[in-house]
Amino acid sequence: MILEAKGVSFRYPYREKQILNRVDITVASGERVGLLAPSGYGKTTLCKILAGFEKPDEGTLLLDSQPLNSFGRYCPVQMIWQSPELAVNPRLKMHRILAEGGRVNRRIVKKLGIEDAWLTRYPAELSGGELQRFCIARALGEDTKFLLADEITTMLDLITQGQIWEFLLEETTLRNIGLLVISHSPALIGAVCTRTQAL
Amino acid sequence: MEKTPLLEVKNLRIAFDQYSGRFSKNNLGMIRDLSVMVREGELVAVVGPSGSGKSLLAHGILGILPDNAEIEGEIRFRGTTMTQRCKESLRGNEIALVPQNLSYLDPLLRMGPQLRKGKRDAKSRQKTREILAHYSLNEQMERMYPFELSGGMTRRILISTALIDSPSLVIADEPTPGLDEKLARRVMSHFRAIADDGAGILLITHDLELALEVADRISVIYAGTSIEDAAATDFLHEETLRHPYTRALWRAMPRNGFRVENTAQPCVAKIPAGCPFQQHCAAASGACRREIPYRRAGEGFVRCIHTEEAVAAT
Repeated sequence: MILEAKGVSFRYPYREKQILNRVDITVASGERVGLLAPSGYGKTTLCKILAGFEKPDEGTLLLDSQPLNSFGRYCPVQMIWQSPELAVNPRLKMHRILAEGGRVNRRIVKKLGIEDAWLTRYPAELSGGELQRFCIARALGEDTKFLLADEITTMLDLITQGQIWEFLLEETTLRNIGLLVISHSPALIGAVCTRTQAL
Repeated sequence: MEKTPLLEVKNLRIAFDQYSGRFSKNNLGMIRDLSVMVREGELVAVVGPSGSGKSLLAHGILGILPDNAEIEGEIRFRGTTMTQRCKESLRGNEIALVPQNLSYLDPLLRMGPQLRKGKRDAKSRQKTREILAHYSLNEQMERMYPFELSGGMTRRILISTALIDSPSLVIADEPTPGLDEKLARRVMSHFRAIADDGAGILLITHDLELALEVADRISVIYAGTSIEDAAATDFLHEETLRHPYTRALWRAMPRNGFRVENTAQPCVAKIPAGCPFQQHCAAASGACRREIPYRRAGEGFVRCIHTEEAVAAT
């Protein structure tokens, strides 16, 4: 499969700044593309558009030459957010947050090191790194074909970072999932990505 | 001359009550035995795996733990024990927090007033402009609401809110995620400059490499326990580090080989007695299951019974 954005432009309502100006990007299944740009250049905005959270002012989004919004209830392009604490409902216990991802394989939960005891806690009772593992698991529902990873491990120590990326590489290779990786760490991009693109 | 201690945390324990079912209650000890000290003019980095209790330490010092938390142990600021009331009067003035969580900003307040904390005089306005410029944020930012900023911009605003007044102790909880290397370095050198002016900095971070560039000492915690406190210079070589987890951390640094080993922390309910790292340690023996004191070693401290042999061997 190929995820394609053609000539995407975007500006937040009532703001002068043109965040995205005719951006083209393609990611194929099994590919891992690193997206490079300084802070505030619209990396997260592009992810939000690709995952269907925002509509671009101009441009088209295609998945296998079909419009991205024609894929029914579950969007095959899933995004993992930069700040996990803002990406979960604070009033839900963790097992319900995980269930938002549809059918998430038990193997994924185990491999991410999610302890059973965490499932009955609220988000405020977990650390940032623990929350992020839930967000990663939630994005890896059965029908996920592309994964947008927006700075997903910056809040983690190096050892945990290594473990999570090792898992993600294994999982995406196994399921032939395409990855778009955003990171400010050249070492990480170098170790993970098959190619890079600047914004 | 020994500098005066600004913040001393000794044998801190933080536990949470959790209801499991209608009538049964668990008590989870998230922080079990934590000790750390920051002197005037010193920058101390606290490192440890995700979920080891780094943020709880910060929240415990500031007295912003949730209601179901119990806290024991001693926290002193300039020699006096901190009570909850004392924490409340010090935080925001003498002690500033750079929170990890981007949701700590008031979502309904523009950035300018948020940075000035309600002050309107010309001097505060001037200071706001200076600090924004220092972090490459333009003046338009003052008119924006938190949701309009990117992750990296929000991070810089959080740092600015803490550093705009001159606090004597800064507790920075993961201040650099979302920032590129250049900006992260600028933040770190700003912390260093504040420390050189006499303030104390407690830098909670997972980025050991960046911390080593500026910190005086590194305090390592694992599963809610202080396991090592060492001078930053001890991190130049693996041999000068004392605890096996600290050594694993050293080997995981990109420049030392990026080696990932299994060092997963035991589940909170199942932390063994004695050394929390024993299941991953090659040298573990029966003696590791007894209580292990946090002993002075060289310039710092270590909690490992094998230290003397290890030091003697090198």
